[in-house]
Amino acid sequence: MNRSYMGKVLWVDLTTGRITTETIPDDLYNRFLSGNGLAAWLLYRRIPAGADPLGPDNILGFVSGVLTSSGSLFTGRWMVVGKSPLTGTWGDANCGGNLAPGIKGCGVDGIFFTGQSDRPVYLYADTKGAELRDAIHLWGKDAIETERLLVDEHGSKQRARVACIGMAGERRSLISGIVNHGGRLAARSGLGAVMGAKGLKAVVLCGSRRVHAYDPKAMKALSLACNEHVAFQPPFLNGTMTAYLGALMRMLPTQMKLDGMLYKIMLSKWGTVNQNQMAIEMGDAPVMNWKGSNRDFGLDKSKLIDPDEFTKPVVAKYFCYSCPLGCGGISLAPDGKTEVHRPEYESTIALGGLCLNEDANSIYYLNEMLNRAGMDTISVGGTVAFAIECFEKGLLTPKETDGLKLTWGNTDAIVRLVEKMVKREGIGDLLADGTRAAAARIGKGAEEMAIHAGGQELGMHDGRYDPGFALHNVVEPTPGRHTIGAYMYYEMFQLWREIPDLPDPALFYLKRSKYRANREKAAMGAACSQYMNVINGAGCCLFGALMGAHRIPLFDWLNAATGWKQTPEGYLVIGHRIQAVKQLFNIKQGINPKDIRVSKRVLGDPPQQEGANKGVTVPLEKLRRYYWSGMGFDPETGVPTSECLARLNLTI
Amino acid sequence: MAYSITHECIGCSVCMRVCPVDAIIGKPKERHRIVSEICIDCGACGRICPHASVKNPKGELCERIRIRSRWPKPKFDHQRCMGCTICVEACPTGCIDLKTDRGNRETLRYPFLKKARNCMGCTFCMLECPVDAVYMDQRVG
Ligand code: SF4
Ligand code: SF4
Ligand code: SF4
Ligand code: SF4
Repeated sequence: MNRSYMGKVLWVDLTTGRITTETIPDDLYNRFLSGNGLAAWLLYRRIPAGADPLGPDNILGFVSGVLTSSGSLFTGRWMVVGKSPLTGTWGDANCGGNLAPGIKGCGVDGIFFTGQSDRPVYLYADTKGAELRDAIHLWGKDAIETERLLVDEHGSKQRARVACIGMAGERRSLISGIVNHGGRLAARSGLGAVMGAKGLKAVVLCGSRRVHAYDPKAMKALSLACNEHVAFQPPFLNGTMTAYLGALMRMLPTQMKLDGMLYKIMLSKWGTVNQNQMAIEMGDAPVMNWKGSNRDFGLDKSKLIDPDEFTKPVVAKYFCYSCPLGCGGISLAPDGKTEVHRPEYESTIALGGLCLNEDANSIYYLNEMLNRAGMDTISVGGTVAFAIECFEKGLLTPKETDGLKLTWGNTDAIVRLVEKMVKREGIGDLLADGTRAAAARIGKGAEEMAIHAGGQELGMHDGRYDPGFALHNVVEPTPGRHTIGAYMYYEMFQLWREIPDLPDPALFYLKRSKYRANREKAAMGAACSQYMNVINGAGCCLFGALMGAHRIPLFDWLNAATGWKQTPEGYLVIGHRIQAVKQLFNIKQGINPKDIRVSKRVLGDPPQQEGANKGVTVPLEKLRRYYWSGMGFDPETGVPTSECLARLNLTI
Repeated sequence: MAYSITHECIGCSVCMRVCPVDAIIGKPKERHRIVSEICIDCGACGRICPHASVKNPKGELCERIRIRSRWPKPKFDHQRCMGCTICVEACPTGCIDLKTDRGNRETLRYPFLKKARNCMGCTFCMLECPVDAVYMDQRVG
């Protein structure tokens, strides 16, 4: 039967070298989709309680989504999953690039690694099968070089897609990720370290098995209609005007419900960096390790990251597999020959405004260095900003920093520091595992300056601007993530068009109202978590989903791809179930949901004295209680109640 | 579903060499066999077999196209193409690539048939393009 999923996963035991295929019953896809959903269920059951994330008991999975290669659009994302060494919680990271069709091309929905190899290996898989091969010659090479060598070796008569780690993952840096397609990263949750600890340098996927949708005609019609929306691209403001738009939004006491079409147009024009100045001006982008504001990084300082200015080196758009939008940018390195990925918004702010670094060239340089090393730019930027503040407060002195004068905006020192982090050299070793680990080693109250949630550095979106970010930073089973929920995401998802029971925010509202904790906010948060699980289970891109549920037919695609007749409400129940399993994963691993905290500073405690987010405080405790009870979890402890589990048909 | 080889097969192994996924097994001069779990239904074996010995999944005898350069090959319609790379990844022999054109941040890189000699006319690129930007050109290679 053609159902778009392959119905099988691959298990690779790195200790023994044994490779087996497991058939997954249809029922599990019905209940969890594939991608993160199926993976959460498998890993919840199979990773023993208390497993060392860097030991043989942890399981590392590479998964595609139900919609991968099924004829839908925006559905080329792949995910990596495992117990996170950075947070000790459920860990996942999401990436575009070209790996996802490779996974299904090899006839499986996911590839899971157990055990630990005593010598470096890589997995080679194609249509026929899979085997482990020696990777001694690749160990020590950077990720982009590794990919090139493996594609040269395997890709002359077939497509070879590679995901691998760089030096950071090999050295088990807890803020390292996994790299694909010339420097796209599944960056978050520190899963590069898990891969490094397993001795797995790369996976090379050369399969060319086709995926068959249940109703290909319907898939095509839906995709053509979706593409009409994507293709709508009227001329838009220039770069400078985005900054003024941001400033205007800061000054108004009211806010307008966002429509994702506007964001789509900007994303298509500049990529994520469209937000660079706008986000600083309106208070979404954190500045100066989250203690500064737009006042500290005004237009004079941010002019080099103006979207027009910043994208000058870009020579072509970059598309993840199956994407009609192409928010990426291929840019020329200063040598005029080498092509590199343009830094994303997150990297630009983390390595820029967060450290008061005005030098746009250094951001390109650091971005490429970190892509090659396979290190998470968000966590690196967060950790550098932390180190600078420690230096400012005297907790780190030139003696500890190997002579580096870590002052705000000192580009040279920042570049040298990041080089050291990649190499784990001197002060770099102290910082290579992120802010929480570094603060614990520095002591002397450094924890106060370590900005993280549950151990993971936060994405570049300020909860004081959009309290939804603050909420999801702590309630998600993977803390510190900016790609799951926010009030602005909720507005853009426009789920109420599909599910009339969900709240439809007013077109204009007072900014003040954002800081109220109530049932409606909780419903918005819960819907984001649930929908995002569906998006990830489908293998879809968040940016596609932000166009709005009436423009990206995710539920209809899923039905046409699988032959199911699920309602939008039914899909959110699946998303809810996945969220509950991830929560149970954490509880089984000894994480008390209530202990996942975020630094007080980012909640406006104490409130900022100036700038866009002046005077605001996020009532996080209250919000979290509402959210948990909205999710059917105990409002005090965050533990899924037995009624909730029964309702979700989760018999454990 | 898979292709299959009939008893007409004389074991010349031509199909074995063209199969992109090594789904065909057999000793020289003996009847060959297609491993159905591996076969991806590309049809190349049927197009190449000189002895009319390959059947498609419907059980019909495949028609040989004697001159390989006459096998259907993809062409790309830039008016429709959105640059999504689905065709690039769909090609079992990896012969489609994106042009390396350079322009500015709004420049699209279009697919093209980079290794025409490896193309085996399976039409997967055409079948998978969501916006019908690929069509097969049967005239010349
Ligand atoms: S919108 Fe951007 S990130 Fe999402 S799939 Fe397309 S190119 Fe990739
Ligand atoms: S149809 Fe294609 S994949 Fe199948 S046996 Fe023939 S050549 Fe190989
Ligand atoms: S027809 Fe298309 S997919 Fe098939 S081999 Fe040729 S280029 Fe590749
Ligand atoms: S699949 Fe179609 S739209 Fe996508 S790149 Fe190929 S020709 Fe263009």
